[in-house]
Amino acid sequence: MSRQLRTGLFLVSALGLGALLVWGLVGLHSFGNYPGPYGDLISSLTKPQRHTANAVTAVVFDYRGFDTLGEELILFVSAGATAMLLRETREYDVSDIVDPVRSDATRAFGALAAIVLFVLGLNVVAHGALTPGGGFQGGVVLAAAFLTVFLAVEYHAFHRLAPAWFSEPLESVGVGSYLVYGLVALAIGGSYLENVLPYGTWGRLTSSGSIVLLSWASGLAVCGGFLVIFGEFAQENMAARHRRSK
Amino acid sequence: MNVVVPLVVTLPLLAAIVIVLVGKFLPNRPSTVMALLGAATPVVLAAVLLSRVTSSLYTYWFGDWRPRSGSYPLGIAFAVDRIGAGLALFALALLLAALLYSWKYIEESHYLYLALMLCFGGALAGFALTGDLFNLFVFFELMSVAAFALTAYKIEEPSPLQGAFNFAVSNTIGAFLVVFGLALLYGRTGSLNLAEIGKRLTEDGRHDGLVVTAFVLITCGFLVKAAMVPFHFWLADAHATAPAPVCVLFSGVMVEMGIYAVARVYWVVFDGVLGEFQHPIRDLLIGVGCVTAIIGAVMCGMQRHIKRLLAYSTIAHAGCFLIGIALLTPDGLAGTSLYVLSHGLAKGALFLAGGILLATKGGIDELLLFGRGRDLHGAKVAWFVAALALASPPFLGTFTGHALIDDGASALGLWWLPAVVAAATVGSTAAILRAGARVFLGIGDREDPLLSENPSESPPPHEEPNIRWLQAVTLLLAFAGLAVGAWTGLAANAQEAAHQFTDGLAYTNTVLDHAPTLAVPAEHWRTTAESIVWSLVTLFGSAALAVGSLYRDRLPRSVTDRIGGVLHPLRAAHSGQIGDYIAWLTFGVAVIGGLFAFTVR
Amino acid sequence: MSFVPYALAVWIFLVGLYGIVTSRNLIHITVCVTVCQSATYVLLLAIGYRTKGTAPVFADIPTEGRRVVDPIVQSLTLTDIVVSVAVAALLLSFALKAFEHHRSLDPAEMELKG
Repeated sequence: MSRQLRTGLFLVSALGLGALLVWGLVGLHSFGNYPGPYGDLISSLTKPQRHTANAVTAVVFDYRGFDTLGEELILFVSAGATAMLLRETREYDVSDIVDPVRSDATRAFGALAAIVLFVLGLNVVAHGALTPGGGFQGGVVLAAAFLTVFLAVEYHAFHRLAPAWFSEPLESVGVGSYLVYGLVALAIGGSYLENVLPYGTWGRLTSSGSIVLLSWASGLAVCGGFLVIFGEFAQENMAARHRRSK
Repeated sequence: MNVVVPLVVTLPLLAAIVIVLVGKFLPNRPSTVMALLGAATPVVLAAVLLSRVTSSLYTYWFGDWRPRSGSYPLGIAFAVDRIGAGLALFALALLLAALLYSWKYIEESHYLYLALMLCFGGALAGFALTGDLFNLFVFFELMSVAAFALTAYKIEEPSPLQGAFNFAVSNTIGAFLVVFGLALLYGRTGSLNLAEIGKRLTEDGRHDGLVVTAFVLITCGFLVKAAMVPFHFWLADAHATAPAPVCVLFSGVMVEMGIYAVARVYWVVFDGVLGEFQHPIRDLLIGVGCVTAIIGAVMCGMQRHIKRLLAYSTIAHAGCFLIGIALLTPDGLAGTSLYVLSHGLAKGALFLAGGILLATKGGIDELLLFGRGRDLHGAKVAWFVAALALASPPFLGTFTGHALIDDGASALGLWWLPAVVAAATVGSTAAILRAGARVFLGIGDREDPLLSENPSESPPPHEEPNIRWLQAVTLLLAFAGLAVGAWTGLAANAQEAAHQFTDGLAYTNTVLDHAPTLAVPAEHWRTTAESIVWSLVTLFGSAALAVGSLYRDRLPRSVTDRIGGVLHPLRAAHSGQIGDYIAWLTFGVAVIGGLFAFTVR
Repeated sequence: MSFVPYALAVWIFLVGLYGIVTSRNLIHITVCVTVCQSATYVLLLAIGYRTKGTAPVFADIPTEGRRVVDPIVQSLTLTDIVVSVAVAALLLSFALKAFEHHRSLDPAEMELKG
């Protein structure tokens, strides 16, 4: 199909699709007046049922914990597939390329930022049940800490800190612990992924039972997954520089 | 029972994770053994599950969030009925067959391939068992991401990447449509549990723009996965480039999962509130199915790349599956289930035979392989047995499925519908027979003016494949596909299961823990003379058309030019360009949505 | 005014689709897919919003009596974001490898016809 024909077909169809979507959306409650029972029930129940202050984390790791398992596996599959695609046919070995960032100020502040991000990430993961945050958010911040090293310092520093033999098992262990926890709950006679650990005292780091455990598991899984993906793309970047310098 | 349900889905996933963790350090053999165990155990568990789920639905609440009676469902439920359990079993069984075949077929990066296949299988099983709309989306995405990765498996070739890319973009947009619809339903009912949504929509009773749009979006999203026209373009590209054992799963269960989801969501969520509009819904979906079936059959006849040929055949059959469920009766649904079973096995066998050709002869092009398959006796027999199963001979293969659908259509007064189904079957099976005749028997002309030019695929890096093993697995699938039609008890079971499936009210009651309503006993179907007639038509029609197609080169130039000219726009539309595909997708949703908007008020 | 966020979601989605349809660059298409995904986030979060509501985190506010927004849609969006990352990573890898083979990122220059 020629480009004009294709664009024309699309624009006409988009008008129709847009009209359909708008027609559907006008049936919704007006913005700002969420009516539904599900969210309010959860908000009122997280404290008595699970001693959890953060309702979102409770939903992600307890009430709808099985969805989260599926989602972690999606990231796991994607990271594994990216590694498989990019690693197998990488044209050049990148271990001999040295391309450090030249500005000392950038390196210094970059290293500092990486350290701060790392601690922040751990903090976010640990306090998932108490403050906004949790495994996913914290895991991404942790991965970003490592990425800052690549951006502001040098590829080889990044590679020393997060080589493939570290990030891949990290990810597998993270996803694996999540799944195995569910099996453990099953083994002791409960339901899969049931929150069987003691709920602890409200407001403490050790409250919410298995939510904290699963938050850490997913934090490791997400961090590992992102590190695998970042690592592969960073290596591609370095390989491209190799090509250009030849 | 309490333990079996989550294990059916989590065991393959656990096996995948373990294989990735240790596979790098181990040689191929232990990883393969782990994978086979990780696939075989869930098959056994799923069979146990199917045998225990009889007339009532079994509900499993994750995290023990079973709602105390009358209260709100807070957690995620698996609502297992016979069709869901049967589909999960079928998916895992095909996974096992594909893994057994792959043992001797795929060598490189073996452990990653195994892990991806296990994740794919686990996701398929979860998709069939779940009773929660967002969980359905999550498994849809897991299934899709694993599929994208598997499609790109042979990365030394340029073509897998474009096929995988188009596949990924199309299916992801389809998933967004589902999320849009899900958001609308959540906004109206405040729930994500299928039973609860259905109950609230029915109680509310409004069938306004929101409900209709949600229905259109969710249905179209799943129809993208089911490869209905005009959402089907990705399928041929993906099949052409994915390895043969992966194609077995794509054509055998993945596409069928889209059809299953449309049926499940309709019967549980929308039948209560849109039930008075059965006529327009039926007509529209039957229309989509018919167009898909015909276009699939026509495109099938014009392919020389064997895997693309088989892919278009899948599209043609998928159109017939949709016709079956679009009848909106239990018989139609039962027919589709049986049809899916036989088709999946037979189509799987055909793809595996194609894989043998690729591995031993170094090509997958019908004309270039002319006569070179004569010495592959196992593959030859499997090919023709499977093609026979698809041609729906009396009492074998897809016969029962076709017959139930045809009888269901006649009962509704749609006397012309069996003719469309027969035509699509004849068209696609004839192409398969033609290709088999050329490659395995060496008969027919060596040129064909109506076949398209295709880049050919090069073989997977492999020396001396163990042909005997590969042929054994292929033969097993082919004969199973044929024999399924002869298993008479299956039709009665399918009908009862279909009655259970279409009883949305009973589903809702059982899942939300109120008193279950009693199921209506089904009348058992008897073979009618009409179904035998149609069966003979498809059987002999396929053979005749196949023979005719072998000698298309002898037709006068003017005739072939005329036919080619008519078919050219259709062929040109399948351009391989993602921009075209998405434009058609938008067009399809707009048209389907517009038609529903005007007829469902 | 109260319909604007919903209309915004529709607009973003259509713009993303337009980008995919008219694009000449595989990486651009990947980003457009991400744009379409953002439309779903906007819709979900808009549905769960409550005017003058605060986050459903009760560490320092009482659980009763305070208006909070919906935590469910936030968890759905979280899941959606991870899915988006996974798909984008795969698409970018495909694009990278396609570039290595064809020396071009233009989909029109790749051959895969039916």
